[in-house]
Amino acid sequence: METLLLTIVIILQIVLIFMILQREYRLLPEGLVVRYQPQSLQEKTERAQVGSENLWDNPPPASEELKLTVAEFKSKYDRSESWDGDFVL
Amino acid sequence: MGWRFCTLKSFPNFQREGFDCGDEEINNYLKNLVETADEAGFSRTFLMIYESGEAKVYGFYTLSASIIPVKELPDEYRHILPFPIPALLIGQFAIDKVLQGQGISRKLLADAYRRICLLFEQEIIGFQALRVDTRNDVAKEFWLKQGFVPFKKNKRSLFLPVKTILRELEI
Repeated sequence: METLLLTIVIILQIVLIFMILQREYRLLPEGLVVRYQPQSLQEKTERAQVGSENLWDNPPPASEELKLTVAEFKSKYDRSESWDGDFVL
Repeated sequence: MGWRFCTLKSFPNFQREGFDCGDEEINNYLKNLVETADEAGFSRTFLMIYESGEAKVYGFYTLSASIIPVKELPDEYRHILPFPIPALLIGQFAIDKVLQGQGISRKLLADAYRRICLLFEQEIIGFQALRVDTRNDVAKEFWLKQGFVPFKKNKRSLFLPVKTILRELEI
C-alpha cells in the first residue's frame, strides 16, 4: 500500500514538473511575470508583431501640416550642427 | 523678420513678464519654474526671440526623455519587443497670443523637429517616437494635424514615430 502511494506521488510530481516546463517566461515592462501561451498563439502573435514593427521603420505618410513644418527648416538642415546651438529661421 | 531659437542657458536674461499664451499655468511655468526645471534636469527649454536679439520671448518649448507604455500602443504599433517605446517628450509648447493664428507656431515646431532629428541622427540619444501630453481639445487638434497618433487608453497623450519626420527630410 505504501509503495503504491509513493509511486502515485512520484508520478504526480513528474507530471507537475512537465507542466511547469511547458510554461513560458516573459519579461514585461511591469516586471518579471510568468505568462502561458499555447505555442500556436505565440507564433500568431509574433507574426502580427513583425508586421506592425514595420510601422516604426516605415510609418504612414506625413500629414500635410507636418510636411509644411518640415519644409520650414529642410533647406537649412545641417546634420553636423550642434543640436542645442542657436538657430535662425 | 527672422526668429532666433536658443537654449535657456544661452539666453538666461530673457524678458518673460509680458509673455501671455492664454494659459495661465504655462505662463506661470515660463515665469517662475523654467530655470528650476532645467537645472534639476527635468527638461531642456528652448526660447523663440526676434533675430535682432530683443530680450522679449515670444514662444518656447521643452524637451525631456520619456516613454510610451506598451499598453498605450495601438495594436498596429505593437512592438516585437515587450518594452516601453523610448520617446522624446515635447512637454511645454506655447506661443504668445500676439502671434497666434499667423503660422508662427509652425516655425517654433520646426525648430523642435530639427533638434530632435539632430539628436537622433547624431546618435546622441536613442528613441523611436515623439510624445505630447495635451491639456485641452484645441491643443490635441493641433498635434493631430501634425499626424500624431492618440494613445490607446489615455486619449490626451499622442505620439509620432520619429522616422515620419526623418523620411520627410530625405524626400
